[in-house]
Amino acid sequence: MNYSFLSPSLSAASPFGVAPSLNEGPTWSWLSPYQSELYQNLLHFIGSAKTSNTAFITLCAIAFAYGFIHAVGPGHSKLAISSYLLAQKAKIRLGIMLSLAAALLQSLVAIIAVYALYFIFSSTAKQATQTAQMLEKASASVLILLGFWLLFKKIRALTHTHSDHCDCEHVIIPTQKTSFLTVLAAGLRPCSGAILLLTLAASQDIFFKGAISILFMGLGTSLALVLLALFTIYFRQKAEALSQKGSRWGQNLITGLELVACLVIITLGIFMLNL
Amino acid sequence: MHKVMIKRITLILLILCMSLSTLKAHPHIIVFYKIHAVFNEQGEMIGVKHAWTFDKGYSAFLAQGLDANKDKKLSKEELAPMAKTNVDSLNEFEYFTYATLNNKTLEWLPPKDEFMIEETQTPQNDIQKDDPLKNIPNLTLHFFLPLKTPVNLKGQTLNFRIIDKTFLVAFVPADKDTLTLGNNHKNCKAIFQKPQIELLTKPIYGNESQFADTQKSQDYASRFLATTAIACP
Repeated sequence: MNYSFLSPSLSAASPFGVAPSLNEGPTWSWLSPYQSELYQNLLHFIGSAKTSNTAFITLCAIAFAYGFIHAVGPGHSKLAISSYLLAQKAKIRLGIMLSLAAALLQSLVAIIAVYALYFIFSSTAKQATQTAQMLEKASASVLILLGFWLLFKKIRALTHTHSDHCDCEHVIIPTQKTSFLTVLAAGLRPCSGAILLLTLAASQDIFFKGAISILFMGLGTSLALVLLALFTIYFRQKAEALSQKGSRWGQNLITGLELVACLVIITLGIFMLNL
Repeated sequence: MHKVMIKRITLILLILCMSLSTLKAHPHIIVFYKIHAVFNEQGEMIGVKHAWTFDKGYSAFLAQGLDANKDKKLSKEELAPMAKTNVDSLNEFEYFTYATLNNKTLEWLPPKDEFMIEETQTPQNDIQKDDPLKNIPNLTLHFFLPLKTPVNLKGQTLNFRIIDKTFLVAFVPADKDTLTLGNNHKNCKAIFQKPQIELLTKPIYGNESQFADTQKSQDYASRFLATTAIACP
């Protein structure tokens, strides 16, 4: 998630010119100190995990907790997935699959990116930063594409004549293509904590152990995403149940929610692009 | 039914608003800072020399790919481009340096004389002595930040705040000599007081009321601030 809409002076810059997208993952402030502490512990255990298996297991456990807490606050992956689920009539299974896939993709992107940057290209921090920014822009572009796609589908469904089938619902349902786009949008942009952690692990010659811990971090993230997805679907179902009772107010509410969700996806993408 | 729905929607909106109003990131970069105030021959302060030591995680990130001669050490020369990149980006962040004199904020000119070195010692408040990471060198960025106009501090107190207002970088005072004064300071005194809530130097889990209290505080970040001031007779 980008900060630019909160404080314009921040734009896309990072304070020391290099850092993998620090304008990220805002969270509820009361969690911040916990996160900070957890993050320090993560760094600490990367060091000990080199020789101690117990430390390695602890590292994975902390990474899992960090992944979960980090994902509890509002962030772009969560917003993308929940808006996607809010915009359409989705099944619980899809919500879970999307969340797992997005978190897994996010971990894999971090692992592959750091491996390539560190071991294959011997890149500098500047190049690593540029790569992270490129991934962020890619993620933003996919978001915008997804938002317009859903909006187009929704408007087409709304303007569709009723004559050919009497189903009076104008809801749209998720397709494989749009679900794939959602996973890309939510997962392409790696978490900066993960990148810093993996770089540290690489410098300590324990990249593999670092990568495993990042997968655990992804698991923690996916747990939070799944909870949010379930909540979103539940909320939508409740709203639908209301609209089926024939209340026009309810029906309008659903349509309104769907349109707002599409717009949220587009807006988020534009903010992340930072044009 | 409607009432229940309205309640739910209100609840969700409330949660959304709450989360937006208290958006905070957590720092991925920790800087252990030292300030050295520089005075001219007339005894006016002309600027500060900063020494910012980065935590081991960020240092490792900065160090990647810079060891051109592969001697496993980073020389000043190898680090020079990084130092330049660093200071060039600080402008947008107001150099994280806020100096106030009589409620007036002083203005800075762009940094000069920047260089970066590999530390041989770990800052005490970075990580424990027996930490396996102790062999990763911390990197320290040095630069001079000139004041737009030199100030005469006679009979006044100058307050420093070194802080990232967005909370992305955590500025932690160095374990010693956080504030030192250069020559010609004319009996000014360096005052340093540790922050109310210390990040990283001791467990910060605290009790719940402490966090509730912190939430209420208007300037959340100020709890994590040290008092750094120059008092002149």
